[in-house]
Amino acid sequence: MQYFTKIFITIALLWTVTLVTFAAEDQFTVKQLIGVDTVAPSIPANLTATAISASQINLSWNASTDDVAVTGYRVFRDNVFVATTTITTYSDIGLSPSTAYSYTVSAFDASVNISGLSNIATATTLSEAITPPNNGTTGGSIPLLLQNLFVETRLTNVLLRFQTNIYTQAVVSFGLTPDYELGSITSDIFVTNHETSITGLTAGTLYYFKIEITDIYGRKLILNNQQFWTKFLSDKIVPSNVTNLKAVGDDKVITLTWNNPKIDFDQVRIVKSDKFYPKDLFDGEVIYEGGAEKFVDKDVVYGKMYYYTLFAKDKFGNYSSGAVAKDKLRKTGEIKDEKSLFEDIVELSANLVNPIIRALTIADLDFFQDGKKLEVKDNTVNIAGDRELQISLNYKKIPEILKTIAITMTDPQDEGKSFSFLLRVNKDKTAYEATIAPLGRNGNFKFGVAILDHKNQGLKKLAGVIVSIVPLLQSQNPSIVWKNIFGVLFIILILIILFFRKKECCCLKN
Amino acid sequence: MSKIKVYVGAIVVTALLVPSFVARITLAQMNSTSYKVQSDSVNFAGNLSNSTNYRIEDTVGEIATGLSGSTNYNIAAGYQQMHNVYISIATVSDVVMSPSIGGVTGGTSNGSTVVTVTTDSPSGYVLFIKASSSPALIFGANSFADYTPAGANPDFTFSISSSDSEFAFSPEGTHIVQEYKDDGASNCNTGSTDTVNACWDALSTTDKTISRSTSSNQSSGTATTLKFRAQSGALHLQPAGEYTATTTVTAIPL
Repeated sequence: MQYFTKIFITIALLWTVTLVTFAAEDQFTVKQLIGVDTVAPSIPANLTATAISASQINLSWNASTDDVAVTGYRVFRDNVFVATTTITTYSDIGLSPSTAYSYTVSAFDASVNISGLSNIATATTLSEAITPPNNGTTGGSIPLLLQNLFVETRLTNVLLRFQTNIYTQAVVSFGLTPDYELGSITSDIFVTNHETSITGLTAGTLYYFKIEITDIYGRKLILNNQQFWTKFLSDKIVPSNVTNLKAVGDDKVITLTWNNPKIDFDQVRIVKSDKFYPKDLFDGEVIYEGGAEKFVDKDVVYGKMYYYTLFAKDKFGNYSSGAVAKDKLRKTGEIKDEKSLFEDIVELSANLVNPIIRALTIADLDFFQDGKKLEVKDNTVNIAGDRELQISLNYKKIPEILKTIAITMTDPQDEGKSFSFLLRVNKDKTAYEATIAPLGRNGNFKFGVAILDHKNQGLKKLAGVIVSIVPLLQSQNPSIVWKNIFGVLFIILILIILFFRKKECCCLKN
Repeated sequence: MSKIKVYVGAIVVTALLVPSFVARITLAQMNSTSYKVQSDSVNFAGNLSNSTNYRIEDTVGEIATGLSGSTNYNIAAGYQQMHNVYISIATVSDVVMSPSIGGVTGGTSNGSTVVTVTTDSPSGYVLFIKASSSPALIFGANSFADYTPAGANPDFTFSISSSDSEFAFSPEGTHIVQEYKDDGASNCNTGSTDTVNACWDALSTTDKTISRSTSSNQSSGTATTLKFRAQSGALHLQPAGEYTATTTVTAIPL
């Protein structure tokens, strides 16, 4: 029994049931950067180096990418940092001739994360002695070309862009005259795409410039006598009216001719009416817009008088007050009866005008040149013949009734020639104004002011004289001035000689 | 003679009783409706028994014992060891979300890692995930809010208010649980599709079940990809810094 007990106890103690289970666990982190860029741009690829001259090697590579943005590239020459650039090209200059150079490039971003270095690109500068291809023999040389000139003008600077068909250096010279006296800008890099900017200019000014290009063989090409206008300050000043406007009708058409202003001019708009002079840009049919100085109106019929107003426009969209002319179709041999502007419309009387208008005199008009008011004395005003002239009538001096104010100026050398223009209310509604282009010559220009009172069918007329004096030394370029001075002196000398010869003759007679 | 009878009798009784005891134990296990018998190790007497003709190994099958190990696998050597349930997780890589998000301008960033579970359990395994903090993605006192799905189920499409910043995860793989499966259109916890970058949910400091299998997958294991997304709305200001979510995955054999 004892043995069975031992056995059973042993069996019981030895029974084991093994059942083992495991769990597996791992921990990791998830990280997120906010406002912090630690990712470098990609390595610039495909770096190439090309020798352009004995002292220049041009580099080019593919743009890198970045999780935010690539700020720029660092250029290394023979493992030494030489430059930073924001574009994917670089011109390395000032090198030694016939010398091999190795380059690499890296990219960086705004957080100064820098990429790895690009592939190595190597080039050897050209030797000093460079001869033109085929020594310039027939059929061998590549002609030197300058093309695609682009001029972008601003208020006080200008951007010039142009291309050459082969690598060249360029010199841009500029000035207020064709002597390019203001200076020059030189590019010492051989490139094909040229761009330069000239700064420190004056707004609203005409400049002359030339471009001289030189290739690596020393060949030159000059583009001369180019011009540009710097932009005018945003102005509200109306431009001058056209001058010498004439309307001449024949048996088929009415031909308009005129002279456009030389400055502050963009184009002219012709407005036509068969009722009266168009008083503004929309008071009639617009029959022409452009820069020409002649227009043939074919849309006319017999028996009608046609009225034309020409408005000159500047680059800022300001329009002149309007130059006016009228005519009708005429049979061959029929002579135009040059009456005043309004007298063929209706029988007008000065007594019918508004009394305020009737009381006006020449002294109520204001004459300005260069912002300076000129004195009017005895219905006469002296002006500088080389300056624009503004004629103004204060808005408050005339009643707000329907009216037309026109001025006609007569050529002092031919009283049969005249041109007329309107006075129009300005944008500020402070005055009725007109601007006349420089008369350009000496003379006493008779002028008449006609104020048509539409309401009362009355006409007020005024008359005066504009004495134009062209300053001798300011109106012409120096060479012409000197010619004029010598001319005057020569005439004086002749007069003196004649005087003394006459005196001698008298003495001899005596 | 009496001693021989006792020994014979003991042997007979033992022979009769052992099976019954073994059977009882075995039956006790086999009677369970929840568990499968993994292994039994019934240890008989540890000495060699002798007979005329046979040499009996009492420790049945245990030739070489102990566990051999590798990084991912524990080799069960020996009968007794072969009956241990084994499970492992391959080392999970840390996640660096990309790209960096502007603190003022906002943006969306994504990242992912893979959890590979290997088990020899014929019943399979279950995989859990949890975060160490709430909210999960933090930088000092600043954080991304844990993602809030629109309803009870994960969101098929990640969406937050422009004035918020939130952080979410989405599991993908052949063993993901129904909650993260979708209908291929717009709903999660339905269908059998595992749309990429769909069914977004928030991490929690308590375990969330993300994958489950019903069979062994030894020796290749099964991967569950964990997608993470952080988004800061255009009208939200998120202080600059390196935010971290410490995440734990746990796999348990079934």
